[in-house]
Amino acid sequence: MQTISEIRDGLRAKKFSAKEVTQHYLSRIEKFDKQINSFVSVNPRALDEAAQVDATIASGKDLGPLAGVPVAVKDLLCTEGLKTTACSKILANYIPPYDASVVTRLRRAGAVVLGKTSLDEFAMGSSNENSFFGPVKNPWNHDYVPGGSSGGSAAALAAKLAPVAIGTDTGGSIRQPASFCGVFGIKPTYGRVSRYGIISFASSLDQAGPMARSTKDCALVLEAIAGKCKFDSTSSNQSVPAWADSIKQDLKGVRIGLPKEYFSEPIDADVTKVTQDAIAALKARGATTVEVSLPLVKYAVSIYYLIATSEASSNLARYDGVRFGYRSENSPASLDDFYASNRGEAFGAEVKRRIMLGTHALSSGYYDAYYNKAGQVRRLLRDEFIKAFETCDVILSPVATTPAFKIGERISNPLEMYLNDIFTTSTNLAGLPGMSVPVGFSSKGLPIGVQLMAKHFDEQSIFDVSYALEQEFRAGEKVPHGI
Amino acid sequence: MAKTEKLSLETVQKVSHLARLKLSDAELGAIQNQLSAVLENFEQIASVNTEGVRPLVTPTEIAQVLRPDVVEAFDAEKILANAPEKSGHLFKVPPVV
Repeated sequence: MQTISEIRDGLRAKKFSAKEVTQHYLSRIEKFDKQINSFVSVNPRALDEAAQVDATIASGKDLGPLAGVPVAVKDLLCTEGLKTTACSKILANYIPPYDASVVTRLRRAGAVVLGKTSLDEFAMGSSNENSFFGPVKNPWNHDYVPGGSSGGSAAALAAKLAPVAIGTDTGGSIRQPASFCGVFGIKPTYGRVSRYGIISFASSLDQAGPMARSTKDCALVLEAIAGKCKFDSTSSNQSVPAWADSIKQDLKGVRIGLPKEYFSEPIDADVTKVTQDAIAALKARGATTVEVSLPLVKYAVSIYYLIATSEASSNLARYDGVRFGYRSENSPASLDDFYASNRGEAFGAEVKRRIMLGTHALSSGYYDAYYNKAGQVRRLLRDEFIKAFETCDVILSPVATTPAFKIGERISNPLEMYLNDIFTTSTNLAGLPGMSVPVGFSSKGLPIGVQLMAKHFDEQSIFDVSYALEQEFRAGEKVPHGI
Repeated sequence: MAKTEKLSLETVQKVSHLARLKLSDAELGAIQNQLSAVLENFEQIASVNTEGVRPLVTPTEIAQVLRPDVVEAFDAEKILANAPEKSGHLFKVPPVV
């Protein structure tokens, strides 16, 4: 009961029931999650939801494509009746009155919501050390971070506490933890997946996406959640292809672009080796490589942090303690004091830092030099990528300059933490799809993935190359010790 | 463009008011240092030639979507369920006048 196909086939052949599949994962969470702290809450109705799938099977009615599949959902997506906290003190007791569209579609496909996974507060972070509920540990080595902000989802997958998970990615938050934890994760093209019901961080950058232990499972989950949504006016009209069934079996004619600016960054030797191994494997399977040039990527982290924090300062203005969320015990001196206390007492340090940066970047006298300028550079950067895709089908790069780092190692230097995002932020800025594929391990036994990017709406090419790497390295089949 | 001076404490205080964030002196000081370092690093974007370039906001092309301006009903009890304090169908806040 490890993959979507295995679960589907097993249910149809009556090898096990949906309840048994869900119970299997609930038991594993109970047994192992105290070691890694990947779940914020477990769905008390999970077994009931699974029982409903069993009833559907018994009645002979059609089963959805994800029937009986337990899904771990990042605690940034609203789940009706089930606490949704964004891993923040300000929403620690918030119970949404509605489901995010992603969750509605998962349920419609027959999936079972297993529980909500931990994240950096409001998706702001690259290590999952910023959660109000404590850091998540990397299952491969508990002294190390799982990455962030979707660290809980990545760690839960690596520890086999769920077969598939949902993450979100604004500047790399699906891809980097996927790489650090040795699992697959894709951020789809901007507009592929509805943002309705996802607690907003940066509206022009956020995308939810699947994380799993295989290319095919990522593709199957993405098929279920993608598509136009009437509640998200930025969602795309593009039809959703049958990605999983269309995965190419060989790479003849596939051109892999290698950005020369990325490969001239200082990169850990193990990451370089794994990346070169991946490139060699793809060439051996029929792909060709071509150097591409993206000079503006050196500004990506700067413009990302100006744009994302500006949008965040606006999106997080709703947390005022009036209609929901934390309210200070102290009597306020004024309305402004009321807001300032509620927010100051309940937002974590990183969130406050980003709200401050974004508010400054948007303020009178600074808007032109910061937010507006960043937006202009963003257009030029996107156009550079579009031009690069004239000569290649998929761009390959490392996901991060290093494997996972130790808990506590980078938390006191925000700039150093932000510079982690050097390979992933361009993807969100340009709206392109990007995936992290597990390939190898560091000399310390920590996973290392590679990043694949493609043209807007060309997730298929990414899945094709991901599948080839999966066949070659089978990295997703390894399991951490003691799990 | 002139090199950014370290953000003044006055600027940081002004920004914290705009953001409606009550910050301690220690927090203000830390943020002053951290944001100065970050902004100094980001200064480099000034050197990109962006003459005549429209800022990009939405990275993929999307069509304007309209719907009829019709109220859809929602359960008031559900909406009030997370209220820190309520009175009937009203959200209660401390007196502000």
